[in-house]
Amino acid sequence: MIVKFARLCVRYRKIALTLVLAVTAMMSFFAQRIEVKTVFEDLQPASHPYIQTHERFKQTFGGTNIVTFMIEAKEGDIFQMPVLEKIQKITQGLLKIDAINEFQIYSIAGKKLKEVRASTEGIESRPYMWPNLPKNAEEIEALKQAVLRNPLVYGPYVSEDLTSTLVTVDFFDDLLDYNLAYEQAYNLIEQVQDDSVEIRLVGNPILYGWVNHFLPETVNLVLAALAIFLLLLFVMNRTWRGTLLPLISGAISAIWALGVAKMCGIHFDPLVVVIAMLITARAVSHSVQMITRFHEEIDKFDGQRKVCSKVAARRTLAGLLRPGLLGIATDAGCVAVVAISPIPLLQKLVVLAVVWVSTVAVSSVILTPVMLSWIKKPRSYAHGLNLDLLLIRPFLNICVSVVATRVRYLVVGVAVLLFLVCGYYSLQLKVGDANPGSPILWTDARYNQDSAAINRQFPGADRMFVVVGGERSNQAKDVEVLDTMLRFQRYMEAQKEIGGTLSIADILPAVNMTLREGNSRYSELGENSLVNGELMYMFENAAEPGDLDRFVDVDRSNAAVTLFFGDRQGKTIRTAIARINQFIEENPEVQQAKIHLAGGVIGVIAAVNEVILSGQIQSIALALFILVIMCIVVYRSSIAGMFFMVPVVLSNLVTFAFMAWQNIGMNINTVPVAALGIGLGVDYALYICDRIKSEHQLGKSPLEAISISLHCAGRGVLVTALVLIASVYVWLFSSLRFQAEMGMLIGLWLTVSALSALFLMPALAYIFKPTFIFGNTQRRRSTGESPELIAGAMA
Amino acid sequence: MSIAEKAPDDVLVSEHLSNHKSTGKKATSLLLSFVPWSIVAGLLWAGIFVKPSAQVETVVPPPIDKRDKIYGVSTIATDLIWLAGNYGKILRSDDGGSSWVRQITDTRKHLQDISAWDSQRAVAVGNGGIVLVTEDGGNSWSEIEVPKSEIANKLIRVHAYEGGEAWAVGEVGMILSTTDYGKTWRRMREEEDIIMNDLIKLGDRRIFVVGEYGRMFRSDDNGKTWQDFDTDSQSSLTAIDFRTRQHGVIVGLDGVILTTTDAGQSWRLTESKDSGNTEHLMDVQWSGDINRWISVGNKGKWMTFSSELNAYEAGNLSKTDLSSHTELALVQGGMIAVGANVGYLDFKTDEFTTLGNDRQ
Repeated sequence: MIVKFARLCVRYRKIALTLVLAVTAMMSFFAQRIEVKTVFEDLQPASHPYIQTHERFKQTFGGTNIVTFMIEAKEGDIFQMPVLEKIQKITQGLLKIDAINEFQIYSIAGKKLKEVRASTEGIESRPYMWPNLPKNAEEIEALKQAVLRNPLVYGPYVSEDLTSTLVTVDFFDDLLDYNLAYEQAYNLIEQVQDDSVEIRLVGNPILYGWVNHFLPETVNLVLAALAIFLLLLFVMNRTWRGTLLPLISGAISAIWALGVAKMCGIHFDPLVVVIAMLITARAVSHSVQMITRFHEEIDKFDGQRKVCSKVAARRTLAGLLRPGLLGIATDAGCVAVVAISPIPLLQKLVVLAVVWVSTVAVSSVILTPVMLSWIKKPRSYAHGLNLDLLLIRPFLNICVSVVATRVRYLVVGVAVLLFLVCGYYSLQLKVGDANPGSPILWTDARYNQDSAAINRQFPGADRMFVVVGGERSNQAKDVEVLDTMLRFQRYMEAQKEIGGTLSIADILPAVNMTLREGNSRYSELGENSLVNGELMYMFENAAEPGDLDRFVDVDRSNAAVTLFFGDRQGKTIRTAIARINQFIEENPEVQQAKIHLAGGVIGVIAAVNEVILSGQIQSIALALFILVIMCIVVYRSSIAGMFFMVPVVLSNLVTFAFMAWQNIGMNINTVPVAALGIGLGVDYALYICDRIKSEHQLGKSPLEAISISLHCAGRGVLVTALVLIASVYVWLFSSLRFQAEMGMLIGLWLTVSALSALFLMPALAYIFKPTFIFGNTQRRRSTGESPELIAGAMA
Repeated sequence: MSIAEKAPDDVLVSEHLSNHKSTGKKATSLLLSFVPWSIVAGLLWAGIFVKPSAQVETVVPPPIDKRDKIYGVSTIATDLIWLAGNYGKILRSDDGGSSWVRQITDTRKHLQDISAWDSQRAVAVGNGGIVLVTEDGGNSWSEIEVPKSEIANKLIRVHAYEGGEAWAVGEVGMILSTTDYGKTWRRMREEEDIIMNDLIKLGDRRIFVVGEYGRMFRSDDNGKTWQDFDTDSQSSLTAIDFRTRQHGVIVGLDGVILTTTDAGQSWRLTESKDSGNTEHLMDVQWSGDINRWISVGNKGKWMTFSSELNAYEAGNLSKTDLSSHTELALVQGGMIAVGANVGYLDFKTDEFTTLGNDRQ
């Protein structure tokens, strides 16, 4: 059947090519319209209880898109006219930023931060310097005193040393465009900043704005990688076809995948561009296998017969269709299982990746041989530098010698050692961010510098909210509930990474005290829910409707406790969550008003961190399952499944160990790479083993078969690995730390896959002689050739 | 490669061995075919049950947490300091405030004041009419039932006097007294809708009580009968002290200062423009050490004034720390102020250092 199919393809090659080109033309129409953007919401595992809490309350209690400006006086404190003017300019300038939620602007120059005071009619509240700035030195001094008096402002919004102040703002999530927000925010800073102040800026929209900011650089790096890739292919393959055909395959796959993605309404996240590289790498790898085999088939024509590209192409297709499709099917299957992750980003990525990988079946496995069939002078070369003689063959000879001598045991020994060592190190892998600051950017990037500065001066720029309450309305007025919140806050603040906490229970004592003539002995909650309700009413009356919204919902059934985090590290967040649970456990009375985890940026990250580890292990398990099933279908052997697990597990372990060693946390950004990497490691080994099998079936001895396989399929593996590894290392120069690290990871992973396909798998095949490759070996007799002879003959 | 090696294929296997071996091989391969499944199953199991672990370090909070409010302070000799504050917190220091021991109480009510008879016996009062006494230096505190009102029962201050006597005042005109180290308490005046903020007993029989809206009460018969005065102050009066039987000072909200030189027969109001302070004053005491009156109050304010009331000095305890204080206690060379934080003010250097907030 395979032979028939191959014949058909080559016979109707014009139709096949036209079809492919037509589809490509159509797909490129869609592909070029694909949106390139990052959507933080896509990271949220919707089914996770934290996310449900977050989604329900984010509009009022604070979403994930809060942006924080810090205005820092370079000399003296902020209470001087030039600095105050800048605070006001920034605050007013915010209104010009698109998608901003103007009711969620908090600044001493805004109208939401207020001083609550007693007056003859009860209490009144007034903004610090809104709408007007203080006019003279006395008024500035009065402003300073007013700030110092209010613990809800002095500390959270004005730093303890008075040298800096925060302006925070939230966005309407559905209207927000990260790039626009990033641009407008930095423009605003440009307009305001001068020698008197330093203005710093953090927040998710800004972070992802930075990622987009580096998009041109990313494109340049892709081009550079492409250039290196083409150059190396040209040097090694010595033909234009050997250079351009893999490129065409990669391009067609990419176009098809992006086109389908656009049709499914999936956008392209610039952070996953390394994954795109990875899949393109597979396309190229298959294509190079085809070309290598084609040359081999051409070489089989002896002097008498006319060299026929069509025949060679047909034989190539017939010979490689099985391992090619098996490789692609395994890759696609293993990638598909990642979709069990509840994280939408991963699910969308899986659709993209599965389509992408599947298109390789057409673009590389079918199209490459079809195009090769047109080659007129298959034996001509474009340049004289023959790396096959200088580098590739000698190297492959070493591979053969390793299998033929006792060194093969050494290879297996090294692999076992690697398994153990890397397995041990993998256990140290950190879930969540491993360092303070964003792992997407380098430590010295402006964003991370700003983030560090803000966290130094303030309780913390990243927030998590927990919701205390239930279905019963007015529950948040209960003394027990409010009291529990205060105790909870006190308990949580004992963790040093949590800079502070804030809730309605902090507001009410201040209101109560104000009502009691400012007597600080009454700085306490009301005695009962009636009094507390009255205090809330008084506060809201003195303020504006909606001022309480960030603390408690409208029917007073749920209240928020906001926790300010100094960093987003996995450990910090896990400890906080564990402490919250411990508090709930130690305070059974909390049952009346439940504490619901957890919203805000930190709440979302906590949810993600909780699902990624188990998701990752489950994905590996399912990927291996798919691998075993594939092997049973194709080789009718579950031992084959175990055999091919070796390179997959090894490359994963090495990758994890490397991440642990380099302190790269397994977080939402790295998990797609790690997850998709699971499935993509097997096709090198498949090509090699399949060739061994078919050569052995033709009557060659095991060692001969291995030698032939290494010199043909192995050449493809070596060439693609070298070319890809070289081009992947371009990413080390990326301004995005994440891309650099992922580049390193993929480079490492390709190296391990290639080395295990070239050394370990043949060695294992030769030592254990699995039936699925060699059939029942006992019935066979040796052909009597010595390993040296074979190795020598191939050279 | 110098040593030629025989491939295992070259070895001929004899027939009878082969049969035996093939059974063994079958078993092995059967066993081997289970291995991939068990790996998959094991990983799946791990994926479902393995969770990243979090170490919950037990964090020992400092004796005085930043959220704590300490309302009352009492000193015996120079080194023994007792503090009482929110959520039933009582702390004792035997080294002038360098280290603190938290004492166990069974209440979560806010304690407003504490006063000690000696190093073993003390009384603390607070919200909801709670009265706690100890006879063992604070190792155990027991709650005492006292007469209560149906309206409100917050007790605000308590003062211990020689011989086991103590007086406490609070909301709804509450005046309580004991003569047996706090074991039993008697109500000394009928209910009235006024908050009594402070009290002082002079000699055997004379008692002054100050309260809301500038009102003052005096008894010359140890609390049997009371005379009611309106002072010149509209603001609530918060604290009273006498340096001699003749000379006394009352302070209050909005920086009110009232003084007497005739044993409380008449009181003269000092205008805030003279004293230079309009912030609430919450406590006042005479310091023989520096020969001045000392007062603390809201927003980090403190002031001193001379016995002749002709030299006022008002200032902030710290430039950036505007914590309110409710009481003060004189100690060697300075004073301890308690409230939103607890600190020691050195009279010589004017330096204010907070106490008890180091993590232990």
